[in-house]
Amino acid sequence: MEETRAQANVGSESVQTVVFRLGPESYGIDIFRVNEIIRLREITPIPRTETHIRGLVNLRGKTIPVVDLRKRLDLPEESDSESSRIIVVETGNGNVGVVVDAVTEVVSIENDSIDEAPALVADVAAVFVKGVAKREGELITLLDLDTALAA
Amino acid sequence: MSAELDMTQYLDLFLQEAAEQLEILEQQTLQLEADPTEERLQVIFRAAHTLKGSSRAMGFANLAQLTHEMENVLDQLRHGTLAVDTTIADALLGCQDTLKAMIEGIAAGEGDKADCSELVAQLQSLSESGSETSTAAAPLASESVTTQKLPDAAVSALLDARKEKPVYHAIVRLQHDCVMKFVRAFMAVTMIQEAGEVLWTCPEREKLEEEEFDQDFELLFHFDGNVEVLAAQMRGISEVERALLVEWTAPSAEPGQPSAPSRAETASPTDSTSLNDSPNEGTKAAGAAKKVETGQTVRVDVSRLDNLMNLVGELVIDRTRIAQIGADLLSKHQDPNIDALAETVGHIARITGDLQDQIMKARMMPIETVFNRFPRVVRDLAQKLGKEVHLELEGGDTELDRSVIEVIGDPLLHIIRNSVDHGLESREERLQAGKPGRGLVKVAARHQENHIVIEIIDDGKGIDVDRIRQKAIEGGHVTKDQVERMSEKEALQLIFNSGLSTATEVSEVSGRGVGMDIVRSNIQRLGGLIDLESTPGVGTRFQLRLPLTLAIIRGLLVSVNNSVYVLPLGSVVETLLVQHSQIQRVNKQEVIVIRGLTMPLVRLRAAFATGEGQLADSDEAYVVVVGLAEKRVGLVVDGLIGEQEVVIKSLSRFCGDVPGVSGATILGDGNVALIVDVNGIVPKEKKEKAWH
Repeated sequence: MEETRAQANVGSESVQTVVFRLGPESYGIDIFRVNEIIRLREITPIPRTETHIRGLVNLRGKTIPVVDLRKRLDLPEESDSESSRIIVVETGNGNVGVVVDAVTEVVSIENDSIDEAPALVADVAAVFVKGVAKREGELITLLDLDTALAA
Repeated sequence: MSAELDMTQYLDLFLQEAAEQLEILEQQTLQLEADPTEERLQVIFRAAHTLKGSSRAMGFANLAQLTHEMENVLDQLRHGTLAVDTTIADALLGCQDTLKAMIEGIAAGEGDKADCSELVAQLQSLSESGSETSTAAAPLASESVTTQKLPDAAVSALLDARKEKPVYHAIVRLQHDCVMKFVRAFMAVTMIQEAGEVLWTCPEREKLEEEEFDQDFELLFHFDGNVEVLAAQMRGISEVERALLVEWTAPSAEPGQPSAPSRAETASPTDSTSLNDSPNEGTKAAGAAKKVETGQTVRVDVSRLDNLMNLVGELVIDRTRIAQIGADLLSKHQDPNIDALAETVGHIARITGDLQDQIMKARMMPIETVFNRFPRVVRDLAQKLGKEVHLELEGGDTELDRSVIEVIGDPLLHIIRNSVDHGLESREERLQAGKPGRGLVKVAARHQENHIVIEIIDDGKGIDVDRIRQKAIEGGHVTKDQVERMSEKEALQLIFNSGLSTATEVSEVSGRGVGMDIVRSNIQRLGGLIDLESTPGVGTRFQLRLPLTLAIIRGLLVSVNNSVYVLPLGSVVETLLVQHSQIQRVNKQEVIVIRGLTMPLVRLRAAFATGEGQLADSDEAYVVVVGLAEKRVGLVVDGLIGEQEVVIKSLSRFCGDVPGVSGATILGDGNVALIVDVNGIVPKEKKEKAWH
């Protein structure tokens, strides 16, 4: 939350944002949190964990957990497709992968164009949302990774 | 002062060295009471002295002052003007505690703030009382011939020379009836000349050539090889009666000078030697060899070894992967290149195997590092309880991976405390029972196949099985019926249940009934087993069986609903193929009767809720029998895949604690498989049921 305020103060500064799709909606996360983007690969499910944890993948000899962002954000389920990707992001608990339907682009979003999140954006609970950016007539929901990926 | 920037890079080194010296201090001081030999005093003195030197160099004045006062007392002990008694031993042990606190403070960035004024005063009064009894203490040993004869200019030249390479001092004695003294001396000089560079001889070379010396001659030389080997070679020259090689230090070297304090220390005048005090020669030569050994070791941060281990782990995974790709190719194509690939993969497999072995060895530490904590604890505990305890440690040099070393200390300590507190009787009781007044606690470690076995044995009163049975029933852990059906050995195992303590009085030390269950679960988490035997009136014996490493395990790969799981082979007892008709139900619990033994079953599919229902149209099931201490539980799986060595990767903290899963590994095909925590997979109530 503080970060949002800080950004608002800076005014004309902009944030490099990775934009991806979950269903019809576009979402964005700060590029500095993204380590890499990989194709979907075999995910080994872990029993007895929270449902939004899809399992473990092998990332060059290391195992990292993968989160089903749809489940986490309470969005309707959909099956993986050819364009599905895993975005590997840094969290306080090490690297975590996030499954998304497609990674569309990396854009620079002016802080001026970021609005505070209304109570419910694109059916996503406000706690997970940092703000909403308008870009070329499209709405991009900027996610707060810290709350969305809190263990 | 301690915060100077350029010092910080030495801080790690200082802390490491300080920890080592502290360990020496603690170990030796504890034995000092029982065995106050001169050598031991010497070792303690040196450790205190080294600490003083390095703490001065680092600017830790408090630490330096305390060690200085310790040194004063130790010096008097060394010279016999003070005698070792409990007061002194207590004072020295108190010093260690304070030193430890100071060093921990330094490590935490708080400096050596711990208050030591009381101790310093105590030590001062001790050393004053010593100097009253005797005024002049004779020097322990005369300085060596060489150091007396060396002119100052030569000394400073040698000191400069030492900056480049270590300088050694050779003292050679020829047989008294040697007929070709010149030839022998020449051979010795040549031998050294070939290995290093002769800097100085006594007598001078011309006199050596003219045989103008009695039996002895000495050399100072540059050398950085294995001094033991060189000494052996020199002793091999005919008519050489003795050849002693030690590292050289300047005679005037102020002890504790910041430059290389440990080196200056190890070769203090008492150590560089004259040939006349021959009885100790053997130990001194060994000391010299040890010095060289330390010169050839490198301190490596353990995290680097861990990284190295991880990298090799990845290499092993890739190796397996390449082998698999090769095999796939071979089945599809006929190409001589594929054969060559297979050969190369075989070679890589050998090399990675060796690499793994070597790194495993580098991570090995003697279990001594754990054992060293025990004497102090036992001493303090015995004193508090008013018991006499003799602690015997055996097999301290047994090596195991530091991942295991790190975690076994506390469980072992707990068992030892229990033995001293509950196991051993008071002196009076022991004498009445016709036992020696002093109780024995023995901790012994040894290798056995791919495991380390640690035994904790006491000769105390043993465990009262009937009381355990009774307590277990009172505590509601088991029913009376169950207890009656238990064998003696099974009933003994009840002490591992939580909330069970047979101590009549709850003491500060143990007896709150927490502990043994934690000990067992800790051991099991390590993939180890704990067992105990007890004979009333004779004593109790705990036996721990632990893997040598936690980084790699042998596992049994099984399939459950198309997923692969790894069961640690250490807990697998046997595998069975059973007919579904053999599976019976008792109180909603599936069981199977094997060789007259009723064993509960756990379906991994259900336990992991990975797939619904049972395997379709199969009237057979694979059962992996796993051991949980004395209990046996059958895990029902879909299929058995095979045995394999797997590199353990911990689950991400992100996943939290997953009951039944202890980690993950990467298989040859690149996929991730979960490692089953056998202890966590069996629900609590089923564990109880396993008491048959």
